[in-house]
Amino acid sequence: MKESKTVMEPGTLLVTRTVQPREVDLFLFSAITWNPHRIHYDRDYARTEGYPDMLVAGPHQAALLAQMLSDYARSCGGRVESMAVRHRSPAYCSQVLELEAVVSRAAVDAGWCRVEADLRIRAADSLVVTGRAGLMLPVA
Amino acid sequence: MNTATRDEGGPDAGPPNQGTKVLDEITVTRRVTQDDVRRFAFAIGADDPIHHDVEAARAQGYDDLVAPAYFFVSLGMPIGVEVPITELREDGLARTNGGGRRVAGTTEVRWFEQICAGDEVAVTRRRMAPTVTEGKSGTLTIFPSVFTFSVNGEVVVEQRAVGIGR
Repeated sequence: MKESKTVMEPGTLLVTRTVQPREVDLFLFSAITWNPHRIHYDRDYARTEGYPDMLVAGPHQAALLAQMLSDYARSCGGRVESMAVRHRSPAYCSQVLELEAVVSRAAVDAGWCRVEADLRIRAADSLVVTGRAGLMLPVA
Repeated sequence: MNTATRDEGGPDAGPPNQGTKVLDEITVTRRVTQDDVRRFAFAIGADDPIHHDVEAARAQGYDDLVAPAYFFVSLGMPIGVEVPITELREDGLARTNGGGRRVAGTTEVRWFEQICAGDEVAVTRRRMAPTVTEGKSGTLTIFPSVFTFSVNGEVVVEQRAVGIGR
């Protein structure tokens, strides 16, 4: 897992992270969420539904995004207040996924900065997830 | 400082599910253990010590391990689908999910407080009546649901999810 941070300014990258969920990640997430849907842990079955490989579950993708935001906010002494995501195309087992949050708006009030960020998850050749998040960060 | 309020709308990234007829509602209570928190953290690669080390969590002002932000799904997703294997369809989904293939659509989440080990969380799932629409790939069935996660009577997380059936 790689991570980098940039300055908090509208239009700039807030935080990004690279992940590569593999078979064991998909299995563990299915188990921890009691999700018996075979497209997430049974490669042969997933192919019967026309997928090239097992799918990374939507909540798994959202959990990875939320954790990236949460880790970033906590490192600044802030917190994540909201997140909304839309799943646009599948993400498959062992694909490299690039997660990113880009500041769309930042407003300072009473020592806190309310940051709104656009979210994306990209795979090699597709846009997997788009969304938005709201964070409260202390003003340095 | 958390400026989100429990009665204001959150960001909207998908079809609204407010105002839709409630199909059913179920509430269960789950006691969150340290193992629950650690296991979820391991499953998503969350390595912050506050998810694994009680002393690290206490140093940050918490009484016990702090659950990762998206931990709530491990409490909410099993509701209504903890059924015998004989009640699962060929694709592994519970028959209670209805027919057709199912994929994730949209999700909106608002956080008001952290969930920690030791919390007793009341989880309420409201399933809204599905609607049918025409998509690029044919007829889609939209399955909206709203989950609330409460500790000591206060909502700590709210999730609005939309599943898509094909």
